[in-house]
Amino acid sequence: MSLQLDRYGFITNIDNKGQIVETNGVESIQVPSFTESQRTDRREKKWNTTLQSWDTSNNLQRKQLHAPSSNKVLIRRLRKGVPDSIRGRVWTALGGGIRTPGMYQKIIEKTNIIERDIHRTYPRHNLFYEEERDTSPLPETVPCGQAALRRVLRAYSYYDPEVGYCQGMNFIAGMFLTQMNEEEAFWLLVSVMHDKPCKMGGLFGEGMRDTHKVLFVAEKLIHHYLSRLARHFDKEHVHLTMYATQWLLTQFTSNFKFDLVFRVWDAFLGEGWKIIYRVMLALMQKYQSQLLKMSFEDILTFFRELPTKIDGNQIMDMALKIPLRKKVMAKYENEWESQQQEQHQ
Amino acid sequence: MAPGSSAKQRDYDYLFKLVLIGDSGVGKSCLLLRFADDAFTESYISTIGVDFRFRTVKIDNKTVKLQIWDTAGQERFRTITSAYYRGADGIIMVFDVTSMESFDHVNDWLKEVNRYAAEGTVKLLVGNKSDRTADRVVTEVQAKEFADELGIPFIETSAKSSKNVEEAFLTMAGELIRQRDSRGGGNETSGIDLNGEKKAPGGGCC
Repeated sequence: MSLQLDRYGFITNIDNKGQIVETNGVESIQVPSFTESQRTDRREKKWNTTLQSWDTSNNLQRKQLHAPSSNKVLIRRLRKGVPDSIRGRVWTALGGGIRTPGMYQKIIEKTNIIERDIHRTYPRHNLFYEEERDTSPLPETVPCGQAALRRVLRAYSYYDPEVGYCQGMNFIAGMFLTQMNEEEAFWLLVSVMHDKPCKMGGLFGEGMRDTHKVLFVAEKLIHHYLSRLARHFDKEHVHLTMYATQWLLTQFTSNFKFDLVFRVWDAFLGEGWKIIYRVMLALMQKYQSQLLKMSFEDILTFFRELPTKIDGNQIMDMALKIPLRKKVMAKYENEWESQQQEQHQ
Repeated sequence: MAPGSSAKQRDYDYLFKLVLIGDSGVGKSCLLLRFADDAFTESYISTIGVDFRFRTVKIDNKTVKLQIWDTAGQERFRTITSAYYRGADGIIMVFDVTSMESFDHVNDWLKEVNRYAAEGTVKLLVGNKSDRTADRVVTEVQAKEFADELGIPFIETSAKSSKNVEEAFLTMAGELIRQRDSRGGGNETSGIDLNGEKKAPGGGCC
């Protein structure tokens, strides 16, 4: 059945229930009178001239509207009505047009970036699992965890525009959602981003400054506590960012099993970064003898498969026995800070 | 002898380091999974930082080892991932044929590459998700024209159906062999040099 529209685009052959009704194909079209269309033509021409003068005079239209001397003509013409064909352009111009080109796209992109991670967060967890991912799922078929995750991440990006959204936050928020409702998850996210001892905002904000700091400290700690392994990695050109960025940025939430993740986070929420470094060192210490025999490719393959191999409780027990001192951590943190200062001078 | 390959017998004729870049969600990880393991999964997780895989292929009776780095797509991660294109022999720029935004961004990615990568780095443009015909918004002609203007080879792939995935990586490898042969061998270090500054073509590491 075909739709019949009025001049504004509203459907005319629709009943009270919202159903389209048959109309025998007879349409009543209102043909404007000759004088009417002549008037419209005249007005279009005038408006076109006005628009052209506005285009070249950069935002002048707004000033014109507010300047009492010159707005009378404009207001009179607006009161007579703007021709349909040109109304959009006139309104756009009255509003000042596109003030910052590209800004709107930037805002949309932000929500798009969140969107692309929604179905890539714990897709094998019951809360987020989708039986068959359609290319454009209907809202009711989206698992409730995905919808909640979307809302939490969007809410956070509005709440804290400086951090906004950064990949990695999806895993942290998603992990929270397995333990609490979305409002609670949102506020816990706010807390871990801003408050001591976690203070993770700087990891994810523009430039990811603290991520570089954490990677620097972690590298130093490996050299300090596992120097033989560190030298072997240096020789094999294995760099920390090749395997540990996701460990440190998401505090093991992105690819480790939750037996480790929950134990890490129990401690992380209480004491902060120390436990993250401890667990990293424990993971490497446990497999040190194997890793020392491996070459570049095998080392990286080993690390990729590592999350499925380990026993979380065992790693935690090992981690807590590593004699990592606050003083040592602070020393390397200070070293990084002074390096940064030197670079900025 | 090059560091990192000291005691070992070389089991390849050529070694190339490739990096996959492009917007978040265009399917870089899925392309790599298809190429390295001939697998596809709908339940993939977002790549955080970088990921690594390798595969050895035969081209004209030569054994070619490809070490491939997969990178996080979000702009912020470039402070971490740009170190990887600095040491790369080839860079595969991926967009999603169902996302105009990802295609528009190829220009930005190219700027990044030209800023950080060595001059002789071979580039390839890949339009992924070609199986999703109903959602396509970037036409093959449009992308081909764009690639021609840049003088970069272009290929459409589907990590899901596996169409052209093999071809994409082999096109890149073939191009690199031609280039290396014409230059007369060289740089065979295992791994990737993350510390070096932008390399001059043919320039090795310390």
